Amino acid sequence: MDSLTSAAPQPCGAEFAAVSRRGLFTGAVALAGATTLVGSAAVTASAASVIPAPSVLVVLSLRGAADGLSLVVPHADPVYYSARPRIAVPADRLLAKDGMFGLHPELAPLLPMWDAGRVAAVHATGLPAPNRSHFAAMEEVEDADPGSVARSGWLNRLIGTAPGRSPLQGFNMSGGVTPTSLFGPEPTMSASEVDEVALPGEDEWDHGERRRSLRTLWDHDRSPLGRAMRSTYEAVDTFGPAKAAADTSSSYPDTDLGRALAEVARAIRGDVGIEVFTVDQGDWDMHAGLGSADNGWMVNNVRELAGAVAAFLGDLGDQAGKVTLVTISEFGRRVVENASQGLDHGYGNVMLLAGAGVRGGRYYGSWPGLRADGDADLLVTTDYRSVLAEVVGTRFGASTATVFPRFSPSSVGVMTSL
Amino acid sequence: MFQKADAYEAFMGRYSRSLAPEFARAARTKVRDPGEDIVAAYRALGIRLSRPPAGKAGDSHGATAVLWQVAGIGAKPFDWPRPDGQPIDSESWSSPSRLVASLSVHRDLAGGWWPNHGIRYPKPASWLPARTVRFDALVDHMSRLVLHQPASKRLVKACCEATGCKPRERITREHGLVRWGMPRLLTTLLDSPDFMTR
Repeated sequence: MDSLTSAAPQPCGAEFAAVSRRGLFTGAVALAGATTLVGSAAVTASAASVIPAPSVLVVLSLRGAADGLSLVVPHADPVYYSARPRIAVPADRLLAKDGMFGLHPELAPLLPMWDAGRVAAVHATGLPAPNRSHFAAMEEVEDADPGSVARSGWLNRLIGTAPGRSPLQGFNMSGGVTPTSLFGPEPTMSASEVDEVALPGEDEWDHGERRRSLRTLWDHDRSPLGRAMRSTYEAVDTFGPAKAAADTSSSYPDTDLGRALAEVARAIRGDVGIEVFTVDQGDWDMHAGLGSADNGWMVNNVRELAGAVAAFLGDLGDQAGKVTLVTISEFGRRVVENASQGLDHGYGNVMLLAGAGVRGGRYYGSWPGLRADGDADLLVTTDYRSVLAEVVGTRFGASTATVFPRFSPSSVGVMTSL
Repeated sequence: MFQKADAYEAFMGRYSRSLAPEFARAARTKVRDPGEDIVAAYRALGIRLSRPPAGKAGDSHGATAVLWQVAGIGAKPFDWPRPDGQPIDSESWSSPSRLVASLSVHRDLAGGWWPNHGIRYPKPASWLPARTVRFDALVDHMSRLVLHQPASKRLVKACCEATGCKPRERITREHGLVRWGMPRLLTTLLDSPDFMTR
């Protein structure tokens, strides 16, 4: 793990800040203000909102249930090749092979970072019990608080452990509806690009009239909506440095995920206090026509994933030392291929981790062995919450009992402790 | 049809308020959810939609684009992924990202900028109740149409700030407000607490 330490140095100051922000200063009201100049309007934002995030977590959801057995192939499990005569990835094509696993060849863009100890995989992860409905499983995974009726996702609870209620602490870069993981009482932002975070009407022809008018309408309003309006001014004003950060999207693959991660990197380089980002990559529901190791649906999706993530990890500038990326999918797929060269809904899956704090270049988890009967699943030996709890605990110093209520995580070892 | 519905709503509002103070107190306390926001904005502005062509060709038409607008604010009809149904409480629709999205849609509709296929926006001059009208009287007239109530002093002030007009300024078809400033005035009404709640 020495290579990791040298690749991504963690200054003590940042680590202290991670702890102190939640621990020592919890609930403290920041007194100092910071003046930002946005357009022609000089605005004082509360200091709480402009404290740089000590750690940043990017949660990349592979929507549709990605096949973990294609992403990280258990080449030494004899059942894998007998169960998938047409769609298996040949062992001699795999990357970063160890005695049991190897990476899909299209993950090649991530290989240098794997070798540098910045990317890791945890296999046979998932929910405590199988759930084969996309919607129900996504909800269960993202709510991460089984049995509770509270509408609050684990990422919303995570940002809730930090002081301040800046809506910039959590950011959904998929635009539109906030995912269940980020939904909850803590205010968050949602946009599909950095430039969308603006107050409509504050354009090049506006010289402060718009804001004055809105304040006349809303300043007296004490309702939740009135509070949200003031919070919006704060978010928009604080977001200036993110907009000022260079747009590097041309260095990313020209794909939906490439564009989204380029925007995430830009917001991170702006250092405006965002702790959590959610990003989606869709189209993993490969029931039929998955393709081969050379071409087809799986190859295309893995290429999009690896190309975008590799570009992202190389685009973080001086923020790289605090950014961790985790992939998660609602469930895995069957061990045995179906008659349509596809894979039906299964259970266990792989999680990829990259960036700050990751003890990379290795495969984690306990391999349960595959079975080849028609309905066989990859069994789950590591609750996905154990992986996330390790990230939350080591990177944010947050209480894992708050973020994952009624859950006792077991140690995975994929993250370096603070 | 919109105007009839508005008249009905206004009548029912007066009727219900005359019945019991509980009704009166219940008005304007609930934040409009994305669907209510969009429908109310189309109605209040008198926007007309035509039937879109089938298939892809219809995607850019207003009748379809209204779905992207409501999704942008946070909830396309029947799109909420969880079995518990989309939230209908005020807190859930009081997020900054919702406000940014709502204000953006209001601006696009007030300006008649988007959607721009299969849709008809009233001409700016059609908001004038007479050939010449004082600005404060125009705001009051539009407030009755858009917000179903007379303009408050606060609203007039906000509209003056947004447009640069003085309350006693005389507005005609040739005035800059009608020629290019009407979107700012309309969006000020749509972005007010009285429009965003019901």
